[in-house]
Amino acid sequence: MSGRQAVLRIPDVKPELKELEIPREAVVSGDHPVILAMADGLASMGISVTLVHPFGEIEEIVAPLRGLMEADDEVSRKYAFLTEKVSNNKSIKVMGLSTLVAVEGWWGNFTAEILQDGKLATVKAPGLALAYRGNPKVPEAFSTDDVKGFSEFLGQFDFRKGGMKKVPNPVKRIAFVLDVEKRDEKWPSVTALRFGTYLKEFGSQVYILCRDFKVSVDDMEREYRMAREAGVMIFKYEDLPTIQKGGQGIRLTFRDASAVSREKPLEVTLEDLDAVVVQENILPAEEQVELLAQLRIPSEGGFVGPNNPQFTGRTAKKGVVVGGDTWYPEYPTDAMTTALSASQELFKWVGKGTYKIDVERVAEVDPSKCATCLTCYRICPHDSIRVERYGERNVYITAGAKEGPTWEAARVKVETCNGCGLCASECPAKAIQLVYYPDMEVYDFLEGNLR
Amino acid sequence: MGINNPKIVAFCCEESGMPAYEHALSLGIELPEGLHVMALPCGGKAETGYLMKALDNGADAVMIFACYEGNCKYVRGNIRAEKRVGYLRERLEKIGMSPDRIVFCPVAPASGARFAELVRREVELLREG
Repeated sequence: MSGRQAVLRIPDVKPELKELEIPREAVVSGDHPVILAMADGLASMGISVTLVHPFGEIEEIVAPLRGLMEADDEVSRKYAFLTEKVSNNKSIKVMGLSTLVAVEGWWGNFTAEILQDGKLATVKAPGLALAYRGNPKVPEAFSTDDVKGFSEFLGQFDFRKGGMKKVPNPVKRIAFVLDVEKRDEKWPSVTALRFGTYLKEFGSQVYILCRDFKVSVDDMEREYRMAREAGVMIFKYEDLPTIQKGGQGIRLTFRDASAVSREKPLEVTLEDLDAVVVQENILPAEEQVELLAQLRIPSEGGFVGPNNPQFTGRTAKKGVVVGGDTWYPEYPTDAMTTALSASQELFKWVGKGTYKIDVERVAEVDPSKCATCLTCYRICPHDSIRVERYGERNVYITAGAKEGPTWEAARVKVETCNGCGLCASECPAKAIQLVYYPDMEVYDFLEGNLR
Repeated sequence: MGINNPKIVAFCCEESGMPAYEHALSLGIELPEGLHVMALPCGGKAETGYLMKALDNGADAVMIFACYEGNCKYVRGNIRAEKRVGYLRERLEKIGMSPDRIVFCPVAPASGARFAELVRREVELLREG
């Protein structure tokens, strides 16, 4: 049975531990309201926080989010409470009208460059928490004049402070189209359902088209039932609906894909629609792309996202956590929970005052073979290998490597290396080896067992 | 021209391939005798050199078990491994060998049955020749 196969496991090296001193400080930056939750969460655990935000007043951070329903009492109450808490907390230093432009260094010793009033200030911090807003973009398939995105459509209304009741009913017949490209986001279904129920009070006809209707948000089962009772109609589709101008408005044609019409395909046509509102893709704003690339946070085509097996809010770079849209576009209540988890995640790194690292499970560069081609620098997911040309700048030491003033090779920052071996496998000069798992071990196993 | 008892080298990512192998063992699924399992810290560590050395030493097939796309702990390690495998398959075809001798298999950590199924399929493929 088992045990007949030859197996080579990763050697179980005894970790050689090194203790680092980590000051209990963090920089929280972004324009997403959850930075309030992050700052408050960290401050309540005894960490001094620098809160960097681009607005004039701290109250402005809680501005409408993509037209999501800020009329939602729960959300506005929570955020108002947080704003007050943050502005009264003495261990939070608030920097208004400022943006984080660059981050240098490694975990435990980040240098954040912050632009405030045209002046560049640097803040040293061991940990970073980021939460930015994404930019909504209507999918290509629906980029016509007849169609509006969620944010454009809902942006017409000011939902705050009971503003919803003052809005005159703008539409008689409206269709929401969800799940056009991104299929697992929940905020569109919540928004469509709540707004649809609201419009129903004015006697409008509301249709929601989706692939799967997602109600796994607090209290949504009840609201779903209420919406159905009020007469909101929900359809499932597989192939994208077609949009035409026809009759007195817009005509939407699609094939119903619900279980009842599986056997006899049912063509559905919605006529005379006043408005068609589609789900947008939330993409990183242009100003963020460079910063995210610096921090090795994946941003092409979207954000980190919950499909990532890492813990909530964690990125591949040690000491950096993300929340808000930079993690995943979410409904405000969910986003706040995520941000709190992210701040706890950061606490693990910066909260203890000292931190033990394993200096065995790392990669190591042979400086005599290194050609300084920067391949490893491009590949490293943790940004922990770099080429330092100038000897006197080298203040860090690689495990096992000789120290010298004329080091002109790539160097591994032991504190941040996770020992994944990606640099070692791509190095064209074969100058990098894993300290705990050298190539010879693999070759010996292959020769010993196959021949 | 088939091979009766093919030697297969499986390079397993520590995060997905290795747990899948162990899951297969715990399920009691019989795995072929000529299977050689090697753990790597990430699928992306499967160097071209490792794969070619395995073939050079007499392996009939090399399989890389890594994570599904978007699930890599090290962000893009599995994609790197997949690209490397694609490149090597092209090379093998050029020198007149069957490209099926190097395969990339994404698995989930708890899919021992799929692990065994993929190995079995590879063995059958080699038997048929």
